[in-house]
Amino acid sequence: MPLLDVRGLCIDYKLQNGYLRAVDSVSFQIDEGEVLGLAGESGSGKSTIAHSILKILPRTTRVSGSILVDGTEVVQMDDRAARAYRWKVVSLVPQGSMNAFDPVITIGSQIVESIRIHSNVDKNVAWRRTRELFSLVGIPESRAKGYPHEFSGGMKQRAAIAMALSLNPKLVILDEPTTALDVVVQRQVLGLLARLRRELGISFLFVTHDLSVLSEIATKVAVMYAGRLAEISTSETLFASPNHPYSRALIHAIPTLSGDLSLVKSIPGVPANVLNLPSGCKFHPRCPYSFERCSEDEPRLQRMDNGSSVACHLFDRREKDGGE
Amino acid sequence: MNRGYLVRRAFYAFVTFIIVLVLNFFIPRLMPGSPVQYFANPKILPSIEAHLLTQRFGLDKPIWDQFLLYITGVFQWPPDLGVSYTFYPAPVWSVIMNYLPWTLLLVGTATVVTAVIGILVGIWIGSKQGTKTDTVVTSVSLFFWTMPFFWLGAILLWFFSIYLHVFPAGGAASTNLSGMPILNQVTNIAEHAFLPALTLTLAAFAGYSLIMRNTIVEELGQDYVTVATAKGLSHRAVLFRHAARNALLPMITLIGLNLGYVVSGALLVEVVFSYPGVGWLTYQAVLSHDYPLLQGLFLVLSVAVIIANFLADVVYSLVDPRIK
Amino acid sequence: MTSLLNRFNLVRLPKDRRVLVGISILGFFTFIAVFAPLLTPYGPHQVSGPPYSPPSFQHWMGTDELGEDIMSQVIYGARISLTVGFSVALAATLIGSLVGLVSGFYRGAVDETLMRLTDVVLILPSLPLAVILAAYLGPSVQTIIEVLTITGWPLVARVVRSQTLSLRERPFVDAERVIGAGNGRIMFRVIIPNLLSLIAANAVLAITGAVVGEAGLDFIGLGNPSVVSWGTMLYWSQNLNAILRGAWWWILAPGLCIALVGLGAVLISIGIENIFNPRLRGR
Repeated sequence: MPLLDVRGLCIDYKLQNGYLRAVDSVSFQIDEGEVLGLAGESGSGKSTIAHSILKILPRTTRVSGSILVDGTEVVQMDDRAARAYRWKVVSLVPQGSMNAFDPVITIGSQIVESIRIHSNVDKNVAWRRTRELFSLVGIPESRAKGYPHEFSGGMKQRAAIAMALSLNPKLVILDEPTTALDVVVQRQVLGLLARLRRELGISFLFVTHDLSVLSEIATKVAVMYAGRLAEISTSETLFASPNHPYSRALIHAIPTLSGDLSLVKSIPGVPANVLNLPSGCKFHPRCPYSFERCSEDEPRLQRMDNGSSVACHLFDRREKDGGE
Repeated sequence: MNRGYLVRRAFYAFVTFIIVLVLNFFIPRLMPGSPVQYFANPKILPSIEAHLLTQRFGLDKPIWDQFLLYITGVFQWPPDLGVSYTFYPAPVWSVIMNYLPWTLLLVGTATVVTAVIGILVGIWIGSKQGTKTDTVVTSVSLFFWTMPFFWLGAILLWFFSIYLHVFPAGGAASTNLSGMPILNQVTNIAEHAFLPALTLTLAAFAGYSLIMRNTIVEELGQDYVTVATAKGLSHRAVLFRHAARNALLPMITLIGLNLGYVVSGALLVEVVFSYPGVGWLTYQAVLSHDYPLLQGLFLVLSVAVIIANFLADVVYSLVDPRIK
Repeated sequence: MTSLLNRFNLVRLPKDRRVLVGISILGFFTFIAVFAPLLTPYGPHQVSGPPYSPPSFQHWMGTDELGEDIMSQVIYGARISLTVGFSVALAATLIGSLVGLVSGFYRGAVDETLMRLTDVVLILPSLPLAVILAAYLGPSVQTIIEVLTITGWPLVARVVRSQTLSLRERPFVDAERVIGAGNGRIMFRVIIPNLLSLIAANAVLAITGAVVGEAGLDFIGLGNPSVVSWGTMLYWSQNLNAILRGAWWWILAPGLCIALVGLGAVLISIGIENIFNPRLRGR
């Protein structure tokens, strides 16, 4: 049984005059020990999906479909069950870890808080655990009683990771964890994550717009565009031979340190405006390979021979047979 | 660091005090006409006295000497701020000191109650932002805030005192106060102070609640709130333990800033309720052109506000860990 | 008109219900102030009925202690109160904005000095300061305007300065410098247009403070009692102990007008402000 099983997830945000579909029929799975990279531009819906797994979207948001976490259905959970569920099996290292901590409370206290919300352990026990977590992520234990403004960016990031691990979750969601960091610190954090995965067997859901980071750490990558899955496949397959035109463009846009000098290719056009989406395939206005069908029908995710799934009419099989 | 901040604020308070002192001295002397006109009201004092006054205040001496006289008068104990007309020959200082306690009672109570109510209401509607409750409460608060304090007081006075006879119609306490047992004395004073304090509170609480509301809304949008919710904290815990604590910090400074406003309000409210504090005293002084008294009042009130603001700074420095 | 609104991002303004209410209120009072003589049969100083009579058919808002019609006084009083309100708001905002802009833009010694000055006036309790200034300047409408302006500009200066400071650091200012724009051009073409909505919001808000302030100063005896304004009406009613005599109508009308004008101004100001701070508009 996969650790995280998302099926047909649809998320609608409430606006002043109706609902806006931010995520449309997204399905994917994460097995134990896997790292799934959720990639896409801003506004593609990736953070929304991350938040929906923890059930922390605004109350006015409509969520349908299924999110099974370790066998438990999350979408229909009531408030009480949700509060008990959060952080225990799944935790979060949020976007902007710079602000993940309350500025007026010590970091240690906040980690202790995360522990004591869910069980009545003694304070000392909780503090001991906190110090353990600090050393696990490589921060000197003496800093546990420090305030957020006393920590550097990289240290705060590690502290956020430490807090996410406080209840031994099986899955940690990281929302743009490396975006605000310089390359050197990025490397350290990625190293830490790899180590945690090795030593503790934790799975990660790594949300980012930076594909190059995913190439280092993800085992599987799901590419999103305008709230829909464009392609999902193993990391090697995606980086070696991307199928969807959007994935291809993203990967070719990564400048390389070795090899021939070539012009960095950017993707023409502007990112899809969720308030005014094109008909058919949402990527078709920017796609160099689009043809007639692309503006009429929205392509569905289809499994390919090499195990990856693509939502693109270029790869429609046996359409004449009407099957999939 | 803590020390440095406080020293700077203290220095700043002192500079303001000096400026007040100087202003107080020069304003009457900058007005057209001889200062004696202002200091000698022929309706009360015949011209012989005017001559004595001139001597006493050294009004015929050069400006610098007058200034020295003035400064030495202020920096002694009890300060010599001149002699009042309406209460001749009582010195201004003792007149003010007789009336000040009632104002302190009123302003003190009003400040505390207003801050508490304002902050609680602010937290409440901040968490309900966008809902009907928010709109209604905000509008009601605004309405009370924009109306003239003293008019509200007059309406309340009319309604509760004259019409319903529930509260006394004025004064700070009944004339036979000293003859009553202690408990009755306390209730008596409370009865008399209730309507004026209520007026001040109704009029001023919106100053806190509206700003608190906006601050809470901002804090609720911060990442650390997302994390706190993801950790499994209940909505109320997130609100009070995290958002409100952060939102409270600027409130402390606001209490200091608002003090000037509350004092001004208290002055007018005292007039409406014939409450014998310095506000009522100011009214009398204006009516009888008692300039020495007016100047003394200006000095005393300004100093009180400067001190209160400095105290607010001290409290703030103790509470915000980033300043420590 | 629309292009002007468009330019300064105020297009959404007329659609906001609150703003419409605010504009109607202010419009209403301005109207009655301007057309006062046409709207009431009695003059404000005309004795037209028995003293202290409660509202009746001939005197919709009753009469004062001399038998003068209160509604006429309210209508004529609007002239003075609104004049004071608008002039003070205009003057205080102009002075404050200028100080704030110069201070925030040039920084350095200029900023320090101007800010010290502003802070001093800001920290002093405004009423005692106003009292002492007005007491020496003598009771008149002009005094009140002057005094309220003096106590009112610092707040605007602070707000404008802080916004100027933040605008100064924005990339588009740097961009202007890179293309060789001088201070003047930057100030006039970039900073000021971005400040306009803030200034407008503050100016409108200042109307509230000014009208209430005028009432307060009149009430305490610093205005000219023979002039009819909402504030002086309250002064007389207090002085003659109207409440103790039960003449609630004398207090109700002028105060209500002040409150309504204040509310109208605040509503408009909030509308203008909400355009800048979409976060406050509600999720």
